[in-house]
Amino acid sequence: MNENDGVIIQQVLSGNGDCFRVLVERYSHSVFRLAFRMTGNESDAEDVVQETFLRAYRSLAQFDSRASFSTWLYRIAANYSLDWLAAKKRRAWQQEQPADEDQPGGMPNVKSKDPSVDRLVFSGQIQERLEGAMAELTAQERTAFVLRHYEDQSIEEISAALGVGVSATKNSIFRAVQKLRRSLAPLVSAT
Amino acid sequence: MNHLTDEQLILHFYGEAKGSAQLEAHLAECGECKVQYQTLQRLMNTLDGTPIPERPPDYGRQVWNRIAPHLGGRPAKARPAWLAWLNNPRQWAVASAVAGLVVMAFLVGRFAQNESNRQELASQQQSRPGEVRERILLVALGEHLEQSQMMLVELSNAPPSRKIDLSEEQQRAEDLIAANRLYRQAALKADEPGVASVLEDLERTLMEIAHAPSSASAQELEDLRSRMAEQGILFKIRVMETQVRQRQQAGMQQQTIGW
Repeated sequence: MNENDGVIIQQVLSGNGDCFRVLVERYSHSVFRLAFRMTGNESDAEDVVQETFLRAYRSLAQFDSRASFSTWLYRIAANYSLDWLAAKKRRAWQQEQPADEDQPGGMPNVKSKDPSVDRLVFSGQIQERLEGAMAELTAQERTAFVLRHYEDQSIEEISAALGVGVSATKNSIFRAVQKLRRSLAPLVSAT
Repeated sequence: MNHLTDEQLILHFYGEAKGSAQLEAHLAECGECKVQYQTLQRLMNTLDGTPIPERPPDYGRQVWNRIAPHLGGRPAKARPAWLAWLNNPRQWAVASAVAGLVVMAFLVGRFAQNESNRQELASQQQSRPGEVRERILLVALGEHLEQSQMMLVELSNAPPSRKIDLSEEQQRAEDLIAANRLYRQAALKADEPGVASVLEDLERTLMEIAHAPSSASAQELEDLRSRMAEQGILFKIRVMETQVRQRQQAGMQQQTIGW
């Protein structure tokens, strides 16, 4: 844990709520990245960020000071994203409507007016396939994969975050990688 | 050594494989596995290039400005362990099972007692109008819980649409709130804090439904469902309803035995 996190948390718990601002400013970018990878669009990711910090604040007293605050925060964000994905899937299924065409619910469909070099380099064809492949992952597969691949969390940490066993977490990651590989194999081998 | 499995390659990529040195040695020797591993690496590197929309440098401040008005006072104190225990559905199931055993043990004791003192008990039963009142209350409470449960289940399973008309549910919720208050007060008077506590949770949920906009959006309904799920209110009601029914049955058995 960032050694200052613990001190700040103590101050917040002692009644100085404004100190929580430091944690928000410190971790907003990383929580947004996680939320965006999970939800696939900016506006939903913003909602996840906001809700994550609100939930973290409300349950700060339950935080175990021996643990890493960022891991704990990611756990809240991942679990909220999981709920969000499940609710979205349920709504889509019950409404029998196709997913929003602009935001297919898979990986980010970024429409930037000022594309960075990375975005230009990243092939549109791969992007399109990746969106489709990510949309096929179950909520648990996507969460486990995002936490492992992008957030560099260990399998044990992920299984604790998801409340499932280590082998179930491993299987989720394996299945996610296999699905992504199936979709992207022709393009990846050509690069 | 056999070829490496997909799982081994993936775990090795993430540095979580057991016997990593052996795997490295195998990859150095086995061309087929090496190709597999390189393909996997290419896939993973491609994924790393996924663009993320950039946030401005003062993004943290923006987030803080959005959430600060909703933070309220200081964070809630850590809940005592017993409260966390109460909110855990698994523990409720265990508690329910234990309660069932206690009731059974109690009944066995009563049965044995009745066997030896049947006549005496019969006369005692006749002189206990309180027990009759309790049985009537249990029946009414059981029905109240069943009706509440039915409404919450319907609400949980309502198909989401852009706007949902909650006016009918709100009317039912209003009726249930009035009855719920009476049962909660009766439970407190009867020194049944567990029952009163569940009824208090139920009352809060019913109030939330009654005071929601009569034309709720799908998101508002979803939020309501999430809060219900978080509180585990349906589960608590089911457990309590089961216990109430058990007590009803126990009362009837005692009556039968007494007669």
